[in-house]
Amino acid sequence: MNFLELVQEEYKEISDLVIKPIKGIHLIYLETLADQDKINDYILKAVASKRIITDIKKVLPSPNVKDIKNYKELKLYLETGFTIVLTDNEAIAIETKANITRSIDTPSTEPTIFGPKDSLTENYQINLGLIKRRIKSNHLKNEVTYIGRFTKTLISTLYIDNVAEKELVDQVREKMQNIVIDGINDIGELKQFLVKETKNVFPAFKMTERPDIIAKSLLEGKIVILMDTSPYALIIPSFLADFINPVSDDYTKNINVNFLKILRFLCFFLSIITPAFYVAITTFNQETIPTSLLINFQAQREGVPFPAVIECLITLIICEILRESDTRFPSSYGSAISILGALVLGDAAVSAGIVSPIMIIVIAITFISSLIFTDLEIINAIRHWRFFFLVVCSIYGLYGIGLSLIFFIANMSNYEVFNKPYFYPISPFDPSYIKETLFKMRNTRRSKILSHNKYKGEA
Amino acid sequence: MKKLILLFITLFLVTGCYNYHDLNELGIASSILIDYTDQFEVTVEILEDEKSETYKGSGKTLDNAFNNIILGTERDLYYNHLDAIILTENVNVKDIISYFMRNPEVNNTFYLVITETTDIYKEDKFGKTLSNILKRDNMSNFFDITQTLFEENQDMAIPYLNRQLKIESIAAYDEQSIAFNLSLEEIDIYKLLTNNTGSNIVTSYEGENVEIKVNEITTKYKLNDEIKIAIELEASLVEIDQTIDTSNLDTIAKIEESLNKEIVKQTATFIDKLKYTKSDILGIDKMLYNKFHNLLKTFEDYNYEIEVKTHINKKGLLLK
Amino acid sequence: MKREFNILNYLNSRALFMGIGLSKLLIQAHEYIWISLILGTIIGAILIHFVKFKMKKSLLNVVICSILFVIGLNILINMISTMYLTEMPKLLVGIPIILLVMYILNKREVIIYRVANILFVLNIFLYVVAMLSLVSDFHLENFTYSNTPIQNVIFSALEFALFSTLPTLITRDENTANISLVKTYIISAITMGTWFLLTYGILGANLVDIYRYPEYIILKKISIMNFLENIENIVSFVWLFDIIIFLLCNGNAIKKNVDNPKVINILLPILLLITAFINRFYILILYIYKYSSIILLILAILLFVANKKRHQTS
Repeated sequence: MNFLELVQEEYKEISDLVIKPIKGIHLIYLETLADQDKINDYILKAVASKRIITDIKKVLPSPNVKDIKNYKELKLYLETGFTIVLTDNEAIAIETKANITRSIDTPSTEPTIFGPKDSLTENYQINLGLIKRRIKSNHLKNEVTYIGRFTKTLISTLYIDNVAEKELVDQVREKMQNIVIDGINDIGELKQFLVKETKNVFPAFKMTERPDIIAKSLLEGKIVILMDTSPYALIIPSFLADFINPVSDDYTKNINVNFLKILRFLCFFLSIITPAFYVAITTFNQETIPTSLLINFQAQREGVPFPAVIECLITLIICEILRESDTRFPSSYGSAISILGALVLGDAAVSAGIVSPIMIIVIAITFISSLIFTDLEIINAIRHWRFFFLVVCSIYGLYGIGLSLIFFIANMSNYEVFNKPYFYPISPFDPSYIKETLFKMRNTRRSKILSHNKYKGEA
Repeated sequence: MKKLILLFITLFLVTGCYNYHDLNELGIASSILIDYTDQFEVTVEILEDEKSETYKGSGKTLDNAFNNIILGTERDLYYNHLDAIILTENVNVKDIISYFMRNPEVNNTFYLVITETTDIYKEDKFGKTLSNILKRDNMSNFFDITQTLFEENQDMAIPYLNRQLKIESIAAYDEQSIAFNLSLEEIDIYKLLTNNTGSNIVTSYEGENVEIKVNEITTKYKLNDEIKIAIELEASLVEIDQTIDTSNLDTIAKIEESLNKEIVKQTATFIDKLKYTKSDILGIDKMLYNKFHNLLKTFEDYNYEIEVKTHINKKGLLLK
Repeated sequence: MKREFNILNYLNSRALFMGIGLSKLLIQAHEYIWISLILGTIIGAILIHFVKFKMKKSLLNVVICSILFVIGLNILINMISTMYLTEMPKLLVGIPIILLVMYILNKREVIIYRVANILFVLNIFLYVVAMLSLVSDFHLENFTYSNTPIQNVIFSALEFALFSTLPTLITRDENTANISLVKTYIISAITMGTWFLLTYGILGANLVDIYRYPEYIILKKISIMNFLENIENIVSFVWLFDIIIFLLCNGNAIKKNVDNPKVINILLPILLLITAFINRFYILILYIYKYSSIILLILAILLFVANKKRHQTS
């Protein structure tokens, strides 16, 4: 075979390539990716102890041995940390990957009080293991593809074959196969290849780092995409309701959690509507405010030079700047920014008469409501709509709120990801998925839109 | 992006026009005093943070008078938070009311009061005080008065503010002008006859005063050849001379008996007075029209039979 | 899909009552309004059950739907410029409505159903809030004799049937004329009927006669815990939702009846301009209000005859 010559030719200027001839066979590996101990244990010791090697596969004690059919495969295995063993008539790859990863950590972006504390890492094998520990079934399939001309990143599509819809799996597979790109660094990049870029600001897919959320989504009939080198997984399809409600709700008592769920839904609308509503009722429809409160507002706004809309826009933009600087800065400086923001922009702006105290309260409610959601993209989407509502309301008042609300609903209803309506359990209305997300109730049915397998707990 | 630019352009073009009123531009009117001599004299009480201020204006029409006020202030008048409108006796109530009914930016839960004097703004937030008093006393508000005003077969009754700035009587109208003022006792009877609780009735038992407070009441009018008014009320004893032993069951029955007689007597006098002044504030004509579909005989032509059943069901904490 | 279609018709069949219908019927029937409502509901339900046709592509349908669109837009614009934006020119009030309707019509048809689905929930919520907080002000004494001729009551019943069934004719499809639609219609008529009764029970004959929007005036009496008062402008969203859905249905019918769906992007702004033009002549609006039932009746008959004939010949 001419594999050896090919490797020598193509990997000429690669310093970590090792080609080690021993007893008539050749070992080829990249020393940065491969684990020297494993090579020693699995290959070298076995080879050294035998005098004549007749059938190399029977000799090696390695648990993971793969046949190589062509040169392309060889390159792939070599570049993923396998050791290639070349004999006169065959080529095999032996898994000797070095453990270039960190250990399993607690979830940092989706923390919960109760519930499992493990989260995905950058290592695909570990991630898959975390999921397979939760779902022990041969129905859990994972289809592996490699994406990227240079990066050859491993991407794995997970689904439970008798729960997930076949069409959806086919669609995802087709999309995956058509991706042509030089390289891919994070699963977030993958998103733009799976769905056409639309004007809709809401995130198309939910990203999670919690294996329990992944397991639950798989059981519902969704598809999960894992990627090597990324500690996040994509869930397809995702609906708006999924972003609002964390899975950890399932670990607490129904009646208490339902209160929180209603609160969260309220917060979603509060964080969109509050500034607009405030502007509408203080500049157009003052009759809606109770008299004593109105006089209070009026006294507070005394001396503020800007119209309410401009005042609101200023405060909102300042808060956005604060939030952005807080996330970008190293955490040790973070507190300084918070103090500066709270003192200077909160207290001093009021005493200087630039904004009214009530506006600070309104914006604070808006921001705190939006911080209930863990996904950064949903917060950004909410911000987009917040400005839209504010601008319309500053022209049309409460009537503007009514129209913007209809526009918002129409826009959301129109949004579909992989032919699944984004606003799903609300419209089209489906009680079985509402029981999973917007409320928590006993539910024995799977939602129609996700799976043809109707009942939970049946084979 | 194009949409965003369009939105911001419209924002800067349209903001500041059409219905956009910043809070500081609003003069929240709490009460309005309207007087008419040879032209409308209007005083508006505008609420401010802790106090209230009054502004005066005059004009040939009501709207002229209000515009005259705006000339003297930096603010626009805003009527959606009105507490009270106070009218003097020499204005036409119907015109004033329809002016405020026509305006979409006026609430309809405020109170309408007839005043004896125009010198009423001595204290801050007088309108708020007035509205609180009237609300506590279950008086009819603006909306109720509009209902009776546009009803042909009923005359209206509007609370009357006297010189001491107390609501001690109600002005009963006869078509357009005030027929007479109800005294405090008559107000209590008027409340009984219009199914309103909260009236206090005083009677004498064995020469001593007994006072009860009405908690529940049902008044029914039966219209035949004569009009029968059946009043059934549940009341609690609030004040009684301590020589009377109320632990005795007979005594309670006797007190109830004397109360019945007292209420019948007072009601009869009240209705006589209504007949005499031709002021149908009870809306009996309306009932007659509803029953007989004509008004050949109006309420003055009928005899009245009054039947009262009083039940004392509470004595408070004392046994006696 | 069946449920969504029904919900659409629930909102749709209530649309014409705001401004035109409710006040007109109350003034006509006075204290016998309840008889009119019951009769009207029965007649309407029978009509819904037996009148079956499918809209065929024709210019006449476009014209009819355009006229209905103008009527609906006119109601909405006048309502907004009376209640919300008293100083704004009516054309400016209409622009966002047209933009919104055009936006939704340029999407798939199913969006209308989904939007209606959510608005229905909000609508029912606002309706329940209004009813619960107003029911204590309802007085049976207001239903007193007021010399109402019997023919007025019957006219009112017929008008009620006309006002409530005409909008549903536009969305009518042959295979959807079934018993569930009748049920939806009856529920819609009941909710509308309670609003009629409440309005009359609170205002009484005399105030109903003089107020322009009696159904709106009663909302001013809402007082939740003596604190939240004057929320009439928020509760009025009920009609905003109803009429927007009505406009969407008409727009959709126009879209289906023309060869190139993009035509609505030109037609709808023209209809807005027509509406704004009509609104410059107050007399014209008063005529529309006065003869609204005749106009609507002619439209309904035209709609029926035109589509029925074509259906038989084809």
